Amino acid sequence: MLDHYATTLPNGLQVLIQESHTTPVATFWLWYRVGSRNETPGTTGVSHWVEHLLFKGTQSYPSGTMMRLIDRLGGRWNAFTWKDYTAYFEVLPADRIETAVRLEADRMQHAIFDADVVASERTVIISEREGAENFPSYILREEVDALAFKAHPYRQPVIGWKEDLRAITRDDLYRHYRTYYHPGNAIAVAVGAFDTTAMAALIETAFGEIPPGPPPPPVRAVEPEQSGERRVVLRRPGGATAYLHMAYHVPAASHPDLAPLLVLDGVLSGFKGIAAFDGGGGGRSSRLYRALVDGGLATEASSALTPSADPTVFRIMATVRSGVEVAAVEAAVHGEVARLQEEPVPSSELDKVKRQALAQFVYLRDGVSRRAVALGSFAAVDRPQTLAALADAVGRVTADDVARVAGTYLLETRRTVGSYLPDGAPRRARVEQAA
Amino acid sequence: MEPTQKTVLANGIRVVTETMPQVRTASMGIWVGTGSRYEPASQHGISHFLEHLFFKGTESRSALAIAQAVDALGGQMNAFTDKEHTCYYVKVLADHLPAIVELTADMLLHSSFAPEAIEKERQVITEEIKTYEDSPDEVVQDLVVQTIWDGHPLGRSVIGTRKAVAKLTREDFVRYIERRYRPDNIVVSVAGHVTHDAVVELVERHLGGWDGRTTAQPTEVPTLSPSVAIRMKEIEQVHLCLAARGCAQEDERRYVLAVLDNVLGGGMSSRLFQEIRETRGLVYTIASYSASYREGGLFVVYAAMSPENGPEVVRLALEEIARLPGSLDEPELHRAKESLKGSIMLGLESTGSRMSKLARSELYYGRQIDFDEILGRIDAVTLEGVTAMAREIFTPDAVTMAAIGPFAARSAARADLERTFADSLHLLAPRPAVPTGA
Repeated sequence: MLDHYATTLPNGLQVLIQESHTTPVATFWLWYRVGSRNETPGTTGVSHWVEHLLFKGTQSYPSGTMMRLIDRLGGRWNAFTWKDYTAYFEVLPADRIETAVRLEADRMQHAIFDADVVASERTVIISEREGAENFPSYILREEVDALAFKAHPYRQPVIGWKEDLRAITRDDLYRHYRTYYHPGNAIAVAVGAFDTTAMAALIETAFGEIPPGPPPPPVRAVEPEQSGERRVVLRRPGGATAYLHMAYHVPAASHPDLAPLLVLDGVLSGFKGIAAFDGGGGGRSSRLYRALVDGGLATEASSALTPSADPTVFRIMATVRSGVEVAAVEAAVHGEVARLQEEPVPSSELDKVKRQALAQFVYLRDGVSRRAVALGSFAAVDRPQTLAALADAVGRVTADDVARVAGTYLLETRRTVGSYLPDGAPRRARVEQAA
Repeated sequence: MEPTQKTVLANGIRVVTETMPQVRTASMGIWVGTGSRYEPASQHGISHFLEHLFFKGTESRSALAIAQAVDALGGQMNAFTDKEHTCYYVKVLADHLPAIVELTADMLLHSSFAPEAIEKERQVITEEIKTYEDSPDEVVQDLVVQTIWDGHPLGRSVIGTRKAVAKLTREDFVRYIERRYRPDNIVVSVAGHVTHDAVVELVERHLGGWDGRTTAQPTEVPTLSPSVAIRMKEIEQVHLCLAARGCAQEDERRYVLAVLDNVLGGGMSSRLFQEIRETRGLVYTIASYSASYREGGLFVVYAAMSPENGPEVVRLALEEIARLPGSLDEPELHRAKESLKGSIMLGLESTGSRMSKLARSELYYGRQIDFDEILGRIDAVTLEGVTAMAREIFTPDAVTMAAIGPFAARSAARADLERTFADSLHLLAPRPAVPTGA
């Protein structure tokens, strides 16, 4: 269903190509296996900062030229950094996609790390972090991750700790770039209205001559087994709403329990799109929605599992309705988890989740971008074949499998519970002072 | 066969479709020509509240049964309300379209509006309003509109106020439906693996019995009331908007404004982004956009920054705006036009975006404005046109500023921001030394 052409160049660049003629559009992505997972205390946020600097120009495309290169074609282009990877992409009219391939090959090698640019970007990135801090749900997630992991770098926020952002130097950034930006540590993904052979040749021409580079340092940290529940309560002024965020340790994407866990996630809050960060689901008939939202305890309830390179966490999140104790919401979540462990999911409900999954696999074929994200993210954290096999694996999941993974992973000893309590008193009064 | 087709049913419902044989899905939207613009002030938020209620059960289906029906098909159903429209939309595998049309029609025609469901949803909406109040980026963009269009219904937020929402009764909803949810005010738009005739047949079968006519509401062009609005909130950043007059949907110069918007704040190579983020590093987010409605439009610049950078960002943004008429040249104009054209084309990647474009074109213009026509209009934009528009809309007495930020403990920062704005407005005054060519 998601057939693609795959090859690896002699320099190690993994290439994934999928033709799609639904619209006269093409997208090119370059994924590097580097993110906050590869960072160490003191320089957290360095991967994300490097990502920003790759928009500042190369010798061939000085800053302004690079900015205009894609904009003038009306293309969409951007990048994002995650725990396991950093991804750069362009979406262009299909006949202009060559520009994107050449640009990415160029900035893999020749990005300029100018000291003045690094300095002005420091305030931009601190501003980005402060923008995220405005959202209680973000701050809570950051706290929960820092507590759920004590040894593995998944404890670090992708954007970095603020003091690290004040201290990181130009040389830190350049060293990071030179360590991780090589064909042997990258995956090129092209999806769109082009000919596969021509696209393969284009990528080979643009990237083939780049030296493979040294293998990047391995991430050796292994999170020790958790032996008791962990809790954090966050109190801050300036909000009106309380939040709950629970995280349970679960295995990496390469583990055979990925499919049953995704189905379990679907039972709790609807089967989501399998491209990373793809929303969807919604599932007003799902268990969390019914227990928490219909039950009058929360205004929003969701669960999420992002397939990851190393063992990660399965999250359950809720926005608490005012007047409701966070503890009541938490108790309701425990009730739903216990139900998953103790009673097999009825076959009609399991079928519903599988039909949602099937529809999501078809939706994935509609546009070019989501397909590229799905392919690239699975290739970065495991293998692209995992994605191709996932539809079948989900189809084979049984009610016993769901109960088994719930009983194996959603345990008190594997969980971290975070709550955010608004320090509410003066807030409304302040708003009413408005001019 | 034309990819886009339109049929008007006997009761006035307009059905527009686009056939996309290469996909296996279909996106449908049922668009009602109503939103916060059409609410009396005492019922501020009724459109959005009502949108929620249509999911809460019909004479033959409970809310849970509706949710189960959608989820069982793997469908993605939701709705949104804006100032002028309310849209109920769904994406499904194309084979499931008949089932989903039947379901949506049942929701729109036979919702029971049970009193206990209304009470429960009232709490949900109240919570939603609180969450909105915690989102300064959204609030500041509403605040600037409310300020510049003070008193006009377009100036009100879509979400409504807790006070008005607390008072709405079942009778209010029923009367509102009678006035606004009538077939002559409905567009059904479908894009995907469908044929026009099959869609028309489905809509006729399930919505053909809908009758009545919408109560006409007089149009009223909003007047500008430029001023400054500042709110305090204990957050990390200042969120700030500058607004000026834009173009109404029917204004042919909206294409000129779209090009102007692209030059100023339309992407990473735009002037505001380059100067304020790239060169000075003062913000993470800065962008401009134009919002067009039936009766009027606005041009808005939005930015978020640390409180100490606020005055500098305001001064630089106004400087960039003032500098534009004398400095825009043909190559930059050309780049902006190409960029705009490409982004419009790329916006048609999904069935959902095509469904939305079909409906909006029908709702605003009563016809399909196709891609070639849009490209032609953009190509026809001239340097003189953009320059004249910049001089016309950005005058010292026509720009409004709104800001939300941690000013309670920083009264000096607030005063500084207001003073800088007032002092910088003179930059927008026509300069006699520059020939205007008017």
